[in-house]
Amino acid sequence: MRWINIGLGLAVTGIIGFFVVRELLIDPLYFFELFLGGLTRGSIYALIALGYTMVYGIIQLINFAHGEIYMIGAMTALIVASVLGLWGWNTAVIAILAVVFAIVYSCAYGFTVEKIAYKPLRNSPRLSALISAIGMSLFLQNYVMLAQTPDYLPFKSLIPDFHFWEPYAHIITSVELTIIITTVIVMILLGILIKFTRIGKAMRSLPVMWDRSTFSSDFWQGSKPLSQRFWVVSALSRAQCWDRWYWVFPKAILPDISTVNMKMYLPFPSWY
Amino acid sequence: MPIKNHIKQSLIIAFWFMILTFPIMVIKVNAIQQTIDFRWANFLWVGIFTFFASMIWNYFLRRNEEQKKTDIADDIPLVHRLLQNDRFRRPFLGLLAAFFIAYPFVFPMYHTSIMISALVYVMLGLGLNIVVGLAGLLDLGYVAFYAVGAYAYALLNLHFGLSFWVVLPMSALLGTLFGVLLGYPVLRLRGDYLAIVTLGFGEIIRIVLENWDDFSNGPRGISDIPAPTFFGHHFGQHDAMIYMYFIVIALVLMTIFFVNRLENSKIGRAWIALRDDEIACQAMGIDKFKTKLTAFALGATWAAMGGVVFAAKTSFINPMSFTIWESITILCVVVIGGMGSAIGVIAGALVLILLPEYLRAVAEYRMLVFGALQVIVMVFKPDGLIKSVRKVYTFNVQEKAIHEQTHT
Amino acid sequence: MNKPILNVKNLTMNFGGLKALDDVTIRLEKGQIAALIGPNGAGKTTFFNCITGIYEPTTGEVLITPPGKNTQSLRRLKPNYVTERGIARTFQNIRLFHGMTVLENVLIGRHCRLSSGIIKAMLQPPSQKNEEKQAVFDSYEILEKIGLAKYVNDMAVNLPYGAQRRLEIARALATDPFLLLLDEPAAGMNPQETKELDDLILWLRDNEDVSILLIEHDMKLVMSLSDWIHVVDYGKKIAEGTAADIKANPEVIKAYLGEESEDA
Ligand SMILES: Nc1ncnc2c1ncn2[C@@H]1O[C@H](COP(=O)(O)OP(=O)(O)OP(=O)(O)O)[C@@H](O)[C@H]1O
Ligand SMILES: [Mg+2]
Repeated sequence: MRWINIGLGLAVTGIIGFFVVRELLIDPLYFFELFLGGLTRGSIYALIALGYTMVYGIIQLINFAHGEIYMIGAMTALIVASVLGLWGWNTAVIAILAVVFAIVYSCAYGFTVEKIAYKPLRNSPRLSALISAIGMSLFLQNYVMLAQTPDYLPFKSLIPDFHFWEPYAHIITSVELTIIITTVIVMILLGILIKFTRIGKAMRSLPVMWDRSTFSSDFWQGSKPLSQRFWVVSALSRAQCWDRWYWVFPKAILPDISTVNMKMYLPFPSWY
Repeated sequence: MPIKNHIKQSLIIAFWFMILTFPIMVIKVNAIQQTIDFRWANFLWVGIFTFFASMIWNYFLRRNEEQKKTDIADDIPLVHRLLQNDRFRRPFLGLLAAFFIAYPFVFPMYHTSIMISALVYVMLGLGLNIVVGLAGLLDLGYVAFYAVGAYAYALLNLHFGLSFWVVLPMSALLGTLFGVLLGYPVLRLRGDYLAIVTLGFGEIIRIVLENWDDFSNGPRGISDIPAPTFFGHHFGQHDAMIYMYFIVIALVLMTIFFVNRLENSKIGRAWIALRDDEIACQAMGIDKFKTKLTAFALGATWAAMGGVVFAAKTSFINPMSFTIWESITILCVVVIGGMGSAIGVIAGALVLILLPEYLRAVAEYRMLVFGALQVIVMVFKPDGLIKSVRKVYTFNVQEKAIHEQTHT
Repeated sequence: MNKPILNVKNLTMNFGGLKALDDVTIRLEKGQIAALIGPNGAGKTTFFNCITGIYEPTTGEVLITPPGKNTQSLRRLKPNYVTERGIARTFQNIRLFHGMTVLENVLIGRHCRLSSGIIKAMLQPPSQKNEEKQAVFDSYEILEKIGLAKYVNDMAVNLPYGAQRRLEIARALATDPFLLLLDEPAAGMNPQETKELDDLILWLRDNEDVSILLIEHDMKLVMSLSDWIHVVDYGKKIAEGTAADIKANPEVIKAYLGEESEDA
């Protein structure tokens, strides 16, 4: 059985590898263009996925509202950028402020959502928390659609075409370069946060305790030292927050965010 | 805590929300006319609304907490008490029956049509309840089997002219078959991994239907699917709807009948045991895999039958009717209704499907309200609207003596 | 001499680098109450898990000889088949089905002795109805014997702690075992409950035709109950014998002294 699995895995990798190498040999330059484009998109998705796993790893919940908070971060950046743009501020300042606001606001939303929809359900069946998350997602979608607009919005790029990059711009644009670099930096920072800080350690210790068999309600009722409980609780809400900032960041400066976003929300059930 | 502190807390919360919603609720940029619109009224409304909402929210949270302390999870839902009480059971069921029989004759066709949809969801919900509520398998690809049923009827009718009554049992078998086929590879996975893989399978079926033009007519779907006939007799549009309504009622009754029997049988208990503790369940001599597979396959059976009814009712289907959101809706029916509780699931389906229809009064706000309600129900009733109650066995000493005589 | 009903030969269980069990050999005669003791983490629960098929042992063999049947190996048998062959167990950390009533918990134990499938469950022919009725009565009888009859329709989780442990035994008994494996049945019980448990175990051996292998830390209980005692430490079997032998065995004393000085 094991060998069949390994064989199958090798076969699939081999087939994909074959086509990849063929493309590479046919037109190397075009290949690299596509490759880098894929890398850019991939890094964005990787960051989003990291946020997902972080929340999942800690509260063991498929966080259906994850995408909505991501959308709110983008929306905030867009609003801030537009307002400041109309007020005629300097582009660099706008870019920085947009990012800062996006981070702060998605943190705040993550925190609030956890408090309202997840925390009261901590000792309930896991599926109940899942449905609560779905409800939250639906609510946030409709909230933004009603308060702002359900239409596509243009988002002017906040990243200028770097001068020094011009010779290579036909392979990879300045925007894409920024995204890839930001992703790498942010991933490293996240790694440091999780590995070395106290809050990171608390986060890592959580899933073990969250296990149904070992982690029961008496954990919250005082069988553990208070300080430990405090860290766990704050790690929970902070995980909701921290997991946003690093992906909101590249997303906030990406020109096509709003289009990616709006596609993400399909109308809820098709019963109407 | 004195009331003053509550007010202070709610004021802080209101303030937090005012800041939180500021960019989205207050600022509105018109990119074309290059103007910024500050909607300060919204700012105020958010504050007022969240203040009162927070007061109420906290009040109920506290009350819930206190209730949990006083009685030990022994409260039986009202419906169950009504059904258990001999004096109320008859009149209660009688009234219910009268209501459902009179329904299509009293209300206009539009309402009958909505009610049919809701009843189809009752069927689907009861089916998924076997998988999720009883066996504890989170299946996010349930809609795949629904699609199988719907397309089975549409295609078999299109190509071979088979009628509703022929296809209904066939599709039930087909659903079981698909349940076994899909269940076999994925049921080795646990918990959320199972959820993700079933979600993938559900999408695969939809994507196949969307892209395999020759087979399924692609995104254009299949139209003119005939309504069921009555011994070859075709009804007019109005009568057909009423006829359909009673077919669905009959199917729902059949579902309730069978599901109830299953639930309190050897296999039903095995499902619940599996949900509660896999290891202990195996150690008690239950074949984990077989038990999971039967749950999965039986759930699929009902989904497929629901699909046939759906196709016959709407007379038009396309792959868009079978997206992941459909699975999620059915899951909501089960969880909000009350996992493992048949009565709960019925209530859940009626509430969840009828509510958005009647929320049309608040037009564009309905999905907002709906999402909020989902959160509220789960926070305050995490076990669902009507939670499950296990069967009570009575032991009569005399009866036992007789029993012993006959068996020894 | 009769064949031993349980014959475990050279059982070894590796978890990565950790040898949780190392070449353990244990025999159990029919009608015996044997105890498996050892300090915390010695590998006792792992031993049970290897026999009941929850873990697959790295090497070694488990042979059983059910009364009136031939000797057979439990090699690579899934847990449910082991139970079907007649070995039932309880768990150290109580594992009841919390969504079910007490009676239903016991009915689950009857599961592998019932034959009705899905079709029968849906159509409920007389054969199924009788079988179901019989199962309910059997289960009720077991509850009466164990002394839990007053709780029949209560949810299992709402029982007092000692009653939950007894319910685990009732549930195991419902599978009609010839060998009962009890993992720390007295853990968390007060002296009164422990005394009742003592009586119950003796009663089971004498009236229910089961042999018993139990893991227990309560030495008083172990010494008074057991016909034969096996001692493991760090996965190795270090001694076996009657209560008197074990009490006098220097190695056992050392193992216990090294681990739990307060037991000295
Ligand atoms: N699944 C596993 N994976 C890795 N190590 C394990 C596993 N199960 C048990 N162990 C290890 O094997 C050793 C023996 O554990 P076991 O639970 O059998 O001890 P025990 O004798 O039952 O102890 P106690 O008296 O505390 O119940 C321990 O060191 C434990 O950490
Ligand atoms: Mg142990």
